[in-house]
Amino acid sequence: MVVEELLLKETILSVQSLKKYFPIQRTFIENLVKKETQYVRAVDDVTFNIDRGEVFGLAGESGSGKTTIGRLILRLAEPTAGKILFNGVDLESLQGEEFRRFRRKMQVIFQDPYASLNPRMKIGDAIGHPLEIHNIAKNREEKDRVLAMMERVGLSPATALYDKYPHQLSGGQRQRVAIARALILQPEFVVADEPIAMVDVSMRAMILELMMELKKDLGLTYLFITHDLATAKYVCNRIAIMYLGKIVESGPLQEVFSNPQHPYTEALLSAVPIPDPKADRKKLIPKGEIPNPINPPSGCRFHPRCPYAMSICSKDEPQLQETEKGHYVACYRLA
Amino acid sequence: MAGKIQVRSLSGFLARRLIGKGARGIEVYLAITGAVLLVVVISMTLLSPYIAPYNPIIEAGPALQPPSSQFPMGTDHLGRDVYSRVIYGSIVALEVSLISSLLSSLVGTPFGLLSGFLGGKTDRLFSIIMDSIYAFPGLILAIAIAAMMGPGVINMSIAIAVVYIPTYFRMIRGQVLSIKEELYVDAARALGARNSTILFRYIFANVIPSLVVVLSLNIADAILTEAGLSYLGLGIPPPTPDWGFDLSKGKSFLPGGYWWMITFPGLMIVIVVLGFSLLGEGLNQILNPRLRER
Amino acid sequence: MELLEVKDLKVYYYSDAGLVKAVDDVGFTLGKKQTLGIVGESGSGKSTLGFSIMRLVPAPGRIVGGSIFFDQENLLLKSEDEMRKIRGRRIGMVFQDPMTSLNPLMRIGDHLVETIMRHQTATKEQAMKRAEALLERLGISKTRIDDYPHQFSGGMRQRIMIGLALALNPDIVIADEPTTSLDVIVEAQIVELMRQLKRDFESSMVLITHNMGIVAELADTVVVMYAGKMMEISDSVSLYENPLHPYTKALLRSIPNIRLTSQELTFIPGLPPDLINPPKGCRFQPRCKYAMPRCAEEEPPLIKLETTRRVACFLHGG
Repeated sequence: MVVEELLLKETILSVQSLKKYFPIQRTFIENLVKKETQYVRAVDDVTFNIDRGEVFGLAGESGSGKTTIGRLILRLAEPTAGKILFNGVDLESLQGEEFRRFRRKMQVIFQDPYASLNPRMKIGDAIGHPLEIHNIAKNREEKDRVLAMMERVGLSPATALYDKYPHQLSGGQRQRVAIARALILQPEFVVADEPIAMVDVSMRAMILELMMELKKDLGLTYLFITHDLATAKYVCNRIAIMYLGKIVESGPLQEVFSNPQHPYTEALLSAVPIPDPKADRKKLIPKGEIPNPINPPSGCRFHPRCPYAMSICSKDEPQLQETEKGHYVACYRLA
Repeated sequence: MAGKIQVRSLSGFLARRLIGKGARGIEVYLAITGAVLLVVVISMTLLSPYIAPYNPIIEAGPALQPPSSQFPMGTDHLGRDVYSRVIYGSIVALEVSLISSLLSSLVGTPFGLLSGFLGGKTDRLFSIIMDSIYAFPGLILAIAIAAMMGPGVINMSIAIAVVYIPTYFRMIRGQVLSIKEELYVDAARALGARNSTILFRYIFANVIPSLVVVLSLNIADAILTEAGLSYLGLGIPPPTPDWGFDLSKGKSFLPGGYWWMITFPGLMIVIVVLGFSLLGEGLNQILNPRLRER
Repeated sequence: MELLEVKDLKVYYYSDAGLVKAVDDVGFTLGKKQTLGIVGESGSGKSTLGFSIMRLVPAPGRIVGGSIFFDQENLLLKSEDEMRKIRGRRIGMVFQDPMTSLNPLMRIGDHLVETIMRHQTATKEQAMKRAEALLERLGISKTRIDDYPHQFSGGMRQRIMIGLALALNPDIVIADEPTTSLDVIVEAQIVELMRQLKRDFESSMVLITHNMGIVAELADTVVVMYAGKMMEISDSVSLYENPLHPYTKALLRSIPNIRLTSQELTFIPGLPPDLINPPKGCRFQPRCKYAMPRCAEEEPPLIKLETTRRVACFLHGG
């Protein structure tokens, strides 16, 4: 069983020591005085691997860096440092045509189902556009494939909806358009950035189920970026918890959720609202708020809010250590 | 003719908008009023040989006659029918304003697109050039160029066109800058779309509504500028009927009580400018709806 | 009579696209120190309902029928001047987006002082002292009293909003999606704060949200809205344990509960309702798996099943 697992696990995406620092605009005076440029350390030395066929969750609150990592992987932004390897190939080494071809294998589903669709493009054209871009199909054949895809994602009757514009559809329908568009190229890897956050509550499960069905049919791997741990629990195999640009804990989802070892993870899990008035709620609410990412706290970034902080926590940054099989935590408490 | 095609696409566009959205409200009436005025003026232009009772450049009757049943707008100092001159005058006005607006938009738009899209040094270079032109008071610049180039429809069009190029540049560039940040542009990049595809199908396609509005308002402005240039004698040489020129000539006869030579061309200018302005403003309100109170 | 009694309330929007029946025949009561949760998805009418209690429905909306009895007086019969005295002082409101609800040009200390002085008799010094005490209560250091809104984080601004709403000790606080734009941990902090303040100030609360989790944490009674109509109204415990209306059932089953080891999430098929041309009969019927022919013909009335439960569904009678 273990040998099989080892054989079957193949790394599709590898993120190594990834950093993204955004420089803050300096005012004219600051430029004159030659004040040092300050940076927002959105992603600060992040390393993880994603296995083919899994749903890898990247969870965190605002300022954690999870969305920026998604954009870096999609190369919508360039990293300040570090490497991203897709199927073993360093993305930075790809140029021009080669790079455009790689785009076919990696797609994205964004959070906002309205903003991610071109308001001037009929949805049939939008879904077929990737086929045009990559010269896969044209005209009649393209339209047939689009209609088939539309039916597949539940945009039915496809012929009636083909000529509609985004503003004529509901939020759930628009997200289905986004999914159809992303998957019509049959990519290998999909970055899903909060795909249901802006969809009505009663439709979310439908979108999730659709994504999982398509995953099975097309053999996809997902990077599932979210702030909603309850949803993450429903779909993710493994999960990494991020705080202020760093991964604080990662591992198999069931393991991390039932046995959280980082104080931030504990806090996060206990803070999730429970739709049950009789549930026993003991909230471990850390004091204060997420600090300014321009000047993160020294040492462990969580230490000012951590109920277990020790003196070493403010001096040295803890590194990720494996505590159980596949379960990594960056915290001095475990020593 | 350029005017006719514009009318068809404008009314079609309006019709689709109105029927499609079921829009009500004052902006629709603005646009419709403007459109109606323009349809009237443009048909007048096209049908001028058929509706003008007299040849506008030949003496038709005694000079300086007040409006009468024979000459509904009177005659000018050379005995020419003012009404016929007013009708024929629209040809020059529309020709010059439409040609110059077309030229300005054809030059200003690509520069605006490239500048906004590429950013960096290209953007800085283009912006500096355009801002310098923009800094000149419009009429003065038009006068300078027209004086250099001499009279004539084409020359006037070019002179006026130059003045308005920066307007298109700025507006398009501004729109490109904001649309560039939209999520659907990121989505297009993630799909692997080429820059040219993104620029045309994603960015430009969303800029077009604003472009139409600016075009409309630009034409209104251009008519005024053309009238101004002719008024100053830098426009079309006589005897071609031209509202601005007739205004200038009519001015000297006003103290003598001959009011009709200046009033009717002036009125026409106002009506046409109003038409294009209303259309432009109305379209602007339709395409960029703002919150409305009832 | 209870502190707040809403009866047969109708709020319609006269939009360009047509007549939108946003709130159609809604009624409920709210007692002292009680929290009422109004839940629904987008288009349910819950926010409009919240605004209408304060008579702040934005144009082109209008309250076209019903009554809102607050402390035994019908708010719909009051003049705008009288309403101004009630808003803030007796009914406070907390909005969703703390970014835009605070005047960016005003220091928060001045904001608090102005609010206190407008509705209560106090000298500037007294008001300032009360403002400082309030900030402490909210967990904000009083040294920040001279800061501007942009200097605070989203969570803190929301706390200030809540503080402003409670500063005058109103009888009712209406909170419209108070935590939707906040991070999970901040949300938990705000919920805890609201719970404490409710207790200390003894105010009633109307909590409007689509988040079934925080409703479970704070509400005593829950109203479930769909397409402008009330589907079910019930005490919180019964609603979650034994939802009666098919919509409530489906809604609860579509929400992941992180405490459960395994869950089968369901979704509601179909599209959200058209509020200009709502379906004939029961508005949920096109998407309801228990729909009977009668449901497409008649609208089910709200029937009282137990003292604390009412449902609008033919499955349960009527």
